[in-house]
Amino acid sequence: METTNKVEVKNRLLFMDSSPLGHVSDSTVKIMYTVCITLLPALAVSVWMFGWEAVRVIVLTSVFTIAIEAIISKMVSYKVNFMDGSALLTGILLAMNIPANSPWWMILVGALVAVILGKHVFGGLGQNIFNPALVARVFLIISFPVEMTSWPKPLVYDSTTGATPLGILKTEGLGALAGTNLTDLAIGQMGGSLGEISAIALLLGAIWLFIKKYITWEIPVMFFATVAVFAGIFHLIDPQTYASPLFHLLTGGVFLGALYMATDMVTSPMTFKGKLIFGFGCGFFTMLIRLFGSYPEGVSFAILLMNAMVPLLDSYFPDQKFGMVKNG
Amino acid sequence: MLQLKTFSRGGIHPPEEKLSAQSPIIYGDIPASILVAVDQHIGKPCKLIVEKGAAVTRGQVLAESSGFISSNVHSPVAGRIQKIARFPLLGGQVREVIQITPDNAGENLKSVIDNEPEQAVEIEKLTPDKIRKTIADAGIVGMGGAGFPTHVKLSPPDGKEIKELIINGAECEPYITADHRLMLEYAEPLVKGILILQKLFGGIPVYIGIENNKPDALQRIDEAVKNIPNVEVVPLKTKYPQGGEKQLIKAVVNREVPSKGLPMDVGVVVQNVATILAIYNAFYHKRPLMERVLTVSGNMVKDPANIMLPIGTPISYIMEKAEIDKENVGLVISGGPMMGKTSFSFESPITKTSSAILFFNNSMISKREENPCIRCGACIKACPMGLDVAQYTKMIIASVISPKAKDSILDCIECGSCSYVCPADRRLVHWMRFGKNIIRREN
Repeated sequence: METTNKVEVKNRLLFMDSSPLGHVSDSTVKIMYTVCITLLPALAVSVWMFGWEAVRVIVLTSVFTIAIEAIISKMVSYKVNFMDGSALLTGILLAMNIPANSPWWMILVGALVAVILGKHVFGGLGQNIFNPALVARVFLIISFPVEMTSWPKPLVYDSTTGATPLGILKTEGLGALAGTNLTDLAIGQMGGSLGEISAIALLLGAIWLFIKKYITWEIPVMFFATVAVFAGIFHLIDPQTYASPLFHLLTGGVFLGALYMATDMVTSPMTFKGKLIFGFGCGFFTMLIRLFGSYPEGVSFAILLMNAMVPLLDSYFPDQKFGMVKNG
Repeated sequence: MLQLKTFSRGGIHPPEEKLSAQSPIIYGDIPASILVAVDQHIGKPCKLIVEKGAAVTRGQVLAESSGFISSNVHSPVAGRIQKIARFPLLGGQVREVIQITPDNAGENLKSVIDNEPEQAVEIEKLTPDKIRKTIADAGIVGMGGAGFPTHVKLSPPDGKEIKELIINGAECEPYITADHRLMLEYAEPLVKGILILQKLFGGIPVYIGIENNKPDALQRIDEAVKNIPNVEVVPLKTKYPQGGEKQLIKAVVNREVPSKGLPMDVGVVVQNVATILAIYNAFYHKRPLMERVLTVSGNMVKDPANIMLPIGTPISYIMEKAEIDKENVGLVISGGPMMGKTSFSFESPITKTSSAILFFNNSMISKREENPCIRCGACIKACPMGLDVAQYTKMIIASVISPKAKDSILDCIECGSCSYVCPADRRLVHWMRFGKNIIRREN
């Protein structure tokens, strides 16, 4: 018996593979869930501000997006792993982009638009041109303007309405915002979409993403800088009409947009110069819409506009490869 | 602290796993059967000049160089040619192999080598042509893995002036420690070999690049070259793929070899430590390239070692000596895990370019599936050549490769950093190799 065994082993063919034969522990699933976890501080602030209403919206968006993706996975020819965290992330980001008092049917429409129109019409994970959560948000703003702008009154601070600072700025002018405290804005004591209110909590989560190198500095820094410079120029020209750069940075969706929406790997450029231009474009269009458009807020439109430019940015501004410099 | 030199773009730092770094080089025995591959180099195939049944002596040429970019193959043992047949080599390719039954099977290689004492060489009297001819006759090829004939690298065409010589002691691949041990134990012969090449190029500066994860080798070589003018040790920051020629040149002299270019285009020649020792042997022992030191390691090896073996030793012989449990071996890698090739047969022989043989059980076999690209850009950041790997591999998979991309794909050095970091487990370097083949066939 022993001899037969040996012969078998001798003739056994070994497994062949293509190098490299090692791998880092990172995976798509790990990246997606890490991003979800870094959103927890911002979600905590939302719950603090809006109470159980916020929890309801977050749970509904997450359940809807995952359920829709699960159904889609049965219908399409390519492989879809609905538990890979990408559907959950889309769900959480969608929740952060809508008011905390959104009705359930609107959340369902948003989830359908995000997963189907935002992602699977393009071919699923990694193929989409536009950020799915933003596609849904813009779809909802245009379709249900009343529901999307009836902000709930925050629970924590004294306020008669939940109107957003940017909304007040657009309708009543800068004078109506005289008493606004910038520290309150940074913490998140203002009206707005569920997850966009607290700049500090968003920054806290994003710092972890920087450390993990899941996002790089180019897009957020260019986004913030462009908003600040644009707002600063107009503020210097006419401080009575135009709000200060800090006001523009801390209100609305700039922090959520710059740190989480614009840095979405799938829909942002991969090259250095491409990222800089992308960040600049996001900031520029945001301010253009805020100051001269009919909508009080322009972050989501700006990012979607720049999303469409990504393939061009990637191919027109490639990174310089090795061996192209002149050796002096 | 002094800023350690390294290449600027990309690179990764996989676990080093230099398990055999403290194991002195041991000498293997002559195995009962030796399988010398006819072609062990890049370039024109060589011409077989022996026949089945013939008796051969140690050092006899079995197959001779058939052109300028070609290389001789010698018999590492005295014996009789049993068979000449096609046989799988370590990378899986099936090639012509000469099977020799040695007369002195079982004899330790140490006693064979001790019979060939060092002879005096007057370096001053060597002419460049003599140096190149000796190296070519000895069948020396790049022993770091590529296998490019060394005499060709040392013969720059007119108009290309060689200003620096860089000795590659980076050994950036995980597991491999052969060059590390050679530097520790053969420092003086290494210096003698270096001086021959320095003489060839008229006394140009020589830099020996060694990564700082080998502090003992850095110290040892530094001592050995202390009193030698124009030879300098350059400590390098540990980063993969620093042993890549273009990356090493960038790290040491901060010049970029142009796209599609060669090191000689920036006035540099790079030689690996093991190759230099082969050159030393050719001059001081009149010994062609017949043995090499290789690392035997991996999770199936109880005592990882560095061992000197005749070229042509089948890996089944190594497994027997290292007491490796054949039944549980799942993967045999020739070279390091980043760029090495897997073998499907236990009988494949080692060649001039086998720097390591790694034995792993099934746990090393990747079970991960390719997922969609999420455009995270990790591959681009890791690529030492600054290539848009994500985009190019998509083009290759779709068989629509833009003309501009073609040039860049051919720049790929196949280091595997992209596949290593890809969170979606895409076989990026595999696709790049595939793309290179398609483009080369078109041209």
